[in-house]
Amino acid sequence: MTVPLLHLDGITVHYGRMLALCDVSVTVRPGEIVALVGNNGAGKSTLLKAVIGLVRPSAGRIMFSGTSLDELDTATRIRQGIGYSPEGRRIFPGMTVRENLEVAWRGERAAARIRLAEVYQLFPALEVNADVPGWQLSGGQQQMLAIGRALVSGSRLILLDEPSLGLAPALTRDVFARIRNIASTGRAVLMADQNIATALAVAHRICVLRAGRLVAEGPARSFRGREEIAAALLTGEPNAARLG
Amino acid sequence: MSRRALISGLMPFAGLACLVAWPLVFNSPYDLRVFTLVGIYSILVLGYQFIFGHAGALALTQGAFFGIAAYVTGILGAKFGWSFPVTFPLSIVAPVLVAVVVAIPVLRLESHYFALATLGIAQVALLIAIKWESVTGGANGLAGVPGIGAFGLVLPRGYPTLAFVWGIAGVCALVAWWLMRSLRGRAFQLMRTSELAAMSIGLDTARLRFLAFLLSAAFAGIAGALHAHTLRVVSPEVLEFHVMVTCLTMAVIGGRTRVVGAFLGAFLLVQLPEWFRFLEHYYLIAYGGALLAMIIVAPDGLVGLLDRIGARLGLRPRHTLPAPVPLPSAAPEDVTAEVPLLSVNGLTKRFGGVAALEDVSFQVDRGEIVGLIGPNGSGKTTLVNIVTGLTPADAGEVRLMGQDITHDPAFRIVQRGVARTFQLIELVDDMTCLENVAVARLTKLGAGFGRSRSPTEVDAPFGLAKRQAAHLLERLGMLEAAFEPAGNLAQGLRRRLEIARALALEPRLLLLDEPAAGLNEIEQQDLAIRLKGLRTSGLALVVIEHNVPFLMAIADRLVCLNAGRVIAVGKPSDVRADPNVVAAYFGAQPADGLP
Repeated sequence: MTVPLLHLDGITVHYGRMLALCDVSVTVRPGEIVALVGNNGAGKSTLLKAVIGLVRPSAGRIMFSGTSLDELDTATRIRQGIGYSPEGRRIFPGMTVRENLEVAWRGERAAARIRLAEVYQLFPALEVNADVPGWQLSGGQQQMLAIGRALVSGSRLILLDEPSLGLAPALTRDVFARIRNIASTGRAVLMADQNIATALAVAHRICVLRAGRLVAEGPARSFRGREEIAAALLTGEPNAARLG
Repeated sequence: MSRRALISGLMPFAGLACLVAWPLVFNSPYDLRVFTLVGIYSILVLGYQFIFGHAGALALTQGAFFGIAAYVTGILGAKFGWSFPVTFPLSIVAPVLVAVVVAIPVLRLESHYFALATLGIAQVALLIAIKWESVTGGANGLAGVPGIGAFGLVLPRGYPTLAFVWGIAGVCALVAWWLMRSLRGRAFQLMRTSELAAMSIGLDTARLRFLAFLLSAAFAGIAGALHAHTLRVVSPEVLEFHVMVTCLTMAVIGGRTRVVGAFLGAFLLVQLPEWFRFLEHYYLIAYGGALLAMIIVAPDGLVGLLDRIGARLGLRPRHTLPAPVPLPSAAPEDVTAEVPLLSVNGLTKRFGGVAALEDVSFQVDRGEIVGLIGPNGSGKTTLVNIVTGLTPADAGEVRLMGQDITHDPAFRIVQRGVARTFQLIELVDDMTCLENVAVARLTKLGAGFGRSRSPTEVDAPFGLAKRQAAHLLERLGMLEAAFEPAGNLAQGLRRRLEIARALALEPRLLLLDEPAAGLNEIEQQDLAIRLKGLRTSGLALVVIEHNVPFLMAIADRLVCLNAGRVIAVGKPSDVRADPNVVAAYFGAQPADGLP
């Protein structure tokens, strides 16, 4: 059994008085793609933010390749080898596409150049617009840029929050093929996705969150063909309209 | 009545009692004059809140308006011997006229350019006051400004002047409160948060800002005139920058948008130097330190601090859900059905050298749901932006029921019946869901500034707007979130809230930019059912979406764009199978479980 790359142990997060995550434990091994699925407001984004240090858990521990991240700030965690693509296309609007990608470079230049070429191969639209300021990109292109920035960093662990949001179907497939490819080189991916079908198709393992709690976990194939079960897990309440 | 309700009910009276007691306790002539100045500055800040707080524009003209009014009062009073009933209205009119003239070139400018330009205006006014000696008295200013009075009678200094000034401050406070509690007050809040969203509900933001600017100038005029009467002297000091800085600090320390904040800020900023007077040379350090501490402790002003303390004590206003009232049913249209609802003809748009749209034409009929698909960057959002007037077209035309709307401003297009939502949701996060929707009723209900007949009466259009908003929330299945601030909602509900706001505009055509993004399958199904239900009333929808299963379930027709051109139009199943669409959009690979 391989040593876990990321180990979350009993993570609890409060937003004010609201409990966003309650005692969630998740493990990600090298070469593994783990998808967090769950309703709106189930806590998927919060968990990713806790890993990268944008949210401080009120309880629980985060271990990354054997060292504790608990006391480290976001910048240090990123330098330790974690890449993050936030939800909602957070790019640097005043910087060009190339600058947006270059700020994420870590490690050797030569290797970074290869990764940049790979990102351009995956998203030709970014290469075409390399000298265009970020704000001029369309919504979907900004999403490509946010993902590209996480990929170009060469991080051992990549966190993707809703990567398929706003991407055309053909491109979504390309992105997930690329994620599979990255995992095959021993890097790991922890992603949040609203879409269960997508998550089942790309991930090795699925973690189902509901109202801040981990309610089910297992290999993706054990969920496949049982999508109605997964769907039922996600709704629970008769009224799907739950507050975040 | 519970104890807590009693306490919160008594709070305003306690505040009022302190206000009355203060000048009775601190009653030396000097103290009374300082307290009179508190009243004057309160009026100045109340005015400044319109442009700085409500409209959210950093104008640095408030000091200049104040000084101009003081000079008008000074010159007319000291030089011509005119009395208060004549000079007072003129002192208000003068800065308002200046504001009108200044607003035309300046109000269009963006944030810091706007601040710089307004600062320049203040400097010009100061220069005129110093250099135009024959009229203004130059650097020495003008002495012998008469006190407040009429028909030969003059109010003595001390209590009478103080009472008069505070009486006017009270009236100003009522007026400000009355204006801002209406629907339009919420409109300001929306404009401040998102200009885009404000335009999308049909608000003429330029006009709103102009209105706020004029109100600021009028209040500054009142304050300036009273200042000249109280001090009986006018000197270039009233035009110096420190007046502006003081006013700005008062607004920040007190609270930017609330009436009570203006008074708290003015009181503290005027009194603090007096309290630190005993420190002699060091008083400025203590003063500066106190202000700094205040900004750290109460970043949203003293009012915000009081709110937080109140919330801690459980003194929260109780919300009662207004009884939902449906929107008026649309009047039968007198247009012949042969004219399509929307027709887009030969639309072309270039950004730099890149063609974003190239000769795009399509039509949408009443009650139809048209899906707009295409690869990323193919021009879908640009197309919606042009139809809604946010982006001008280079060529081609957009017609709504036969009428050319290509060159109409965004707010006019909304008023003609075109509503939209945004890819990145634009809501006011600290406003409740109910109010986020209610504010969109503004143009339909014609809720002017403070339409209620008396200040104590509930603003009638706002009340109706809330009840109609409750109906829309109910229709979208989120009535239980009515009093939740929009910022607390999860993505799916935020999208629905934006749709509810768009529906509040009673549109004929609704354009949705990726409504299913970030929703899971169950929520998508729910949304699909609700969207289909909307067209029974003849509403047409244009839906941009990458989620093809979602679109297939609701759309009557699909339009596929690629690189700015329409490559396919037709029944969803036909477009789905079109080889060009498959190559450009779906990708050549067979379906493998991925959407």
